[in-house]
Amino acid sequence: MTAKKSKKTAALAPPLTEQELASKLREALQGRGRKRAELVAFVGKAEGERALQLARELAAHGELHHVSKGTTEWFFGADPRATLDRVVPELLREQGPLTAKELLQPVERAAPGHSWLLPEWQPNAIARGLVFELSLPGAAKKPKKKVLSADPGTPPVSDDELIARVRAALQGTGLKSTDLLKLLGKEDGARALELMRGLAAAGNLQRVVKGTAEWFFAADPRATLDRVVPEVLRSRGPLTPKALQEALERAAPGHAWLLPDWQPNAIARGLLFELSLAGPPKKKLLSAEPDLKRSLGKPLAELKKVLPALERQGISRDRIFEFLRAELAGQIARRPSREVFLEALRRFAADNPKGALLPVRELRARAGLAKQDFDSTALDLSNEGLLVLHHHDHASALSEVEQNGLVRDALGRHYVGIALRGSA
Amino acid sequence: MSELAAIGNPFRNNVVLDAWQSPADIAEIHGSAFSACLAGIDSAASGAGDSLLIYGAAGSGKTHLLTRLQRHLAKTAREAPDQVLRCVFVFVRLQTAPQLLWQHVRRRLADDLMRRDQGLTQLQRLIAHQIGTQAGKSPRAAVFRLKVLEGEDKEALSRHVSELSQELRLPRDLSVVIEHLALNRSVRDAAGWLAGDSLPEAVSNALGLGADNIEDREEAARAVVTALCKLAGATLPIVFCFDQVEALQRSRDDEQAFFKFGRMAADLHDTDPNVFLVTCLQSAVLESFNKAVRDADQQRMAKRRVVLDPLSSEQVEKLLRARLESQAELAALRQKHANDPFYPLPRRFVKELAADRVGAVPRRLLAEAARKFEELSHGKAEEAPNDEEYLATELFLRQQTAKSELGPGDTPRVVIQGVQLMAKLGATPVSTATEPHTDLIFGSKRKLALSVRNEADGRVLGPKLKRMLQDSPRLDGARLVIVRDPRLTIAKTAVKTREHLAQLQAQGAKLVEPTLAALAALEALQSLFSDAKSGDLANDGAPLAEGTVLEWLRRLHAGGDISIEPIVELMDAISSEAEARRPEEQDLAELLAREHVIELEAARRELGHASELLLDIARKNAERFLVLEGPPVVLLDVAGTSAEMGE
Repeated sequence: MTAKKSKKTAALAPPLTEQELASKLREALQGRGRKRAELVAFVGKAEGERALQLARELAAHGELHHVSKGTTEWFFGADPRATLDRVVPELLREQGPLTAKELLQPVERAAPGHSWLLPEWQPNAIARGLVFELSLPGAAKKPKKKVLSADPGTPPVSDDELIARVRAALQGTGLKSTDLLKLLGKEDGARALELMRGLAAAGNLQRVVKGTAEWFFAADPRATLDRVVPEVLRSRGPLTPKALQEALERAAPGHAWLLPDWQPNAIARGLLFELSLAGPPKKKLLSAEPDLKRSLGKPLAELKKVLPALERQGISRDRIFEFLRAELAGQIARRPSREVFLEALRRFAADNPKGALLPVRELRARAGLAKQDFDSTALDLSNEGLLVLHHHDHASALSEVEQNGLVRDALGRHYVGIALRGSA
Repeated sequence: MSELAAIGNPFRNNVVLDAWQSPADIAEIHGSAFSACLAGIDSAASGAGDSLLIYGAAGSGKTHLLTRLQRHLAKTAREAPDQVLRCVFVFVRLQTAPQLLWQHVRRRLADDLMRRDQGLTQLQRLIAHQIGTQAGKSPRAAVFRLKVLEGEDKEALSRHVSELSQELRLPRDLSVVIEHLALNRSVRDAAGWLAGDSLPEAVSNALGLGADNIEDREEAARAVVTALCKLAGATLPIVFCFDQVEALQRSRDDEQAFFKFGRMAADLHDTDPNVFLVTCLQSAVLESFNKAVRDADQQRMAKRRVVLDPLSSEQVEKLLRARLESQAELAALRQKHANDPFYPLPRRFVKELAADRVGAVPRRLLAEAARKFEELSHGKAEEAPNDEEYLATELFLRQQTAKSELGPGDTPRVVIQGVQLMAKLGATPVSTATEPHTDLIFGSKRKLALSVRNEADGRVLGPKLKRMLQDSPRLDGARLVIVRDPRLTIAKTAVKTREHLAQLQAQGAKLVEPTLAALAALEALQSLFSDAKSGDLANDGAPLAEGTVLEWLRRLHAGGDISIEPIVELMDAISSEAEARRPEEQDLAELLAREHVIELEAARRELGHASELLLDIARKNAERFLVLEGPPVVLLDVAGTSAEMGE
């Protein structure tokens, strides 16, 4: 009779006020997490739906926490990730390093309803330095064992150190991503790879991707080829593309694979020249200078025709050589700075998008003229209206070296940019 | 006395700061650059996104060119038979911090979309255009209907916005706001949301918006800007003009600022094929810009490039004549000297100006001509103020403007930029923070983590403070400084929020509420620096370098100058040790933010605190409360009104 009466009383009990329901929820979630069904069971089925609704609203305002995974819904009194941030390092300090599996039970005891979040929380906690993943050497023929620890063990290599190591390895060479992994090991290598990508995205490093291969360079590899290839060809003489690739791999390791892509553009820019040797078999060579025999073929033939007549007139071969040298030397010396300047400017403009303002400093390096020659030629051409110079408003704020790279006029104005007039 | 003495100098006002100004214009000057702008718009209109990078020396007329483009677009729209919008025009002067770039673009985009012409905003015209196109009616008829909306039209408009939102997958809140703005409903609040302001929960509810639980405001801004581009791009090309890109740089070697700009511009370019980007860049930063911006981004943001050449001698002459002819008071005198096209300027003077091939940039020419005109009018040219006098006057004038223009929505930008500037002045290391809810980390001995929390009310602020509490104390050991606009109070009913704040303060965090005077002074200083970096700060035609302004500011700082006193006080408040604010002070601030003026006795009754305590609080916080001693004693709120009242 008593049992029957109490059941009836319960059925007729007035519903909880919202405040009471909220307190009940807080009580249910004090220091733990509960699944939807567990929460309903705690507050009673009659209030279950209302309680869930309220729990979701409180979670939306940050009063409770709500985590969904698939169709499962969990509720917590405090941010479960923050709870793990606190609980897990404490446990690891108490119990020493544990595997992820070994950690599950103690976590569930210390913070019920939280252990299922461990796999998701762990990588982020490692990244934040809250816990550390250590590799313990395995027994014979057994794999290494990975454990989590509150203590870093051997100090990990810092990002700065990693970057310094990779930068040192990149001195004068290119590195493939796989080389990087070999060099630094899998874990540090993977971290270094991410760091390198970040540096490359910020323009502090060069990254080249071709197919699945990813390469890193300290300096622009194409600019390196611009510099190194002509040097190699000048010292070794004309080479076949294959021989050039081998020589390049010694002079600038990690750059040779870029050669086929770089070559046509370099030929167009006059950095190297293609020579055809008569066969059989016909052969193509790359050279730092054009085929003089072919270029000077006609004048040479003419010269050969007149040589016997000159010799008959008592002019020796030595006298003819001397005469030609003097003539040609004079002609080269007289080649005006203006011509050199304009040729460099036209080439530079052609390498850039139409209408671009070109940096004076770079043009100076390309033209190879003495500073005074370069500056006076630039100013003359500007006064003639052939080109436009853009002044730097606050050149006084620049260092002396920076100022020297710019063009300076008689009034002390400095010019930073240059463009052919009407290039737009 | 010269007959010119009473006539205004037609060569003054030679700095154009905004694309919506209308200075006298010579179409031939920079004609090729203008043609490139039009070609870019045509290309975007045909669905091939385009971009233009304009290089020019300081004063060469980059901003002027943008005014020409804006007026051309408005004029062609007005003169076209259907009188409708041809494209959406947005002008963005980049006077902001790089970490707030998207938020800045969002605010400018929202402001420009809300610009009214003949009673309708750009946004409304855009919607009308789309309705007309979809219904097969003339856009002009659609614009007319929008002006005289009736019941059924309103329903049709709501339906259209809803369909369009679905088609373009616009976020729900944005779609709701656009509907409000198209129908002229709750315009102030909806426009505030569009610009990125945090809204009180009650206002969000009234507008039908979700709760403001945004974690990353920069990302949220990017989402809104790209969605608006899609909305506009569905019908019309949208033109973004970026000016003063150099102002983003925190120092001369700040490559990160240009890098971020390049990323943002490339993102915008990829958003919609109807976008056309125009970027104006000073020639002096040519090398650092090329170095900092990724090639891939340059290819997207600079499909076309033009260089603003110095003026030819014919152009110099035309410019001077145009200015002379624009001065109505000069007309009679010039009539008397009809055979002298440059009267009153001597021919020889004009010839010499025109002969300078390299220095012939419009601003310099106009400054020279202004001096000459002065000399002819008064016997000698008025002596230009020295740089210090000029800067002090500019600072004062800009402070006055800022006081009336700055809203709470501007506070994050002003504080973040301002603190970076003051850190630079003191050579204090400063870095941008990567974790949420922190804006800057700075300080040399003890690090400070600055968090500008401008959420509109306690309901929105509460969850953010709770997260900060969970991360407190910080792993890097930095002391937390929360900065909040004084006009945004925390209601007495926001119990949890106040609790979180008190807990943070108990753990050493500090709450700083900058005075309006400090915000205005920071904004004025910041705009001086931005103009200097962009070559747009000129004393009598001579550009002032950033270094000159910095040196001047150092002297002001060392000499304890009164004009920057509010800033010094603010920086002291930020860096001094925490001093928890009494809850009674928050109560009084919140009450006065609502009532503005209240008798002390009424405040006592309302809050239930002793009169002596309230009076003590009000007297000690003169920057936010004003006490009229009476009797009866009356308290006034001066935090959000005028700084002068507080002084």
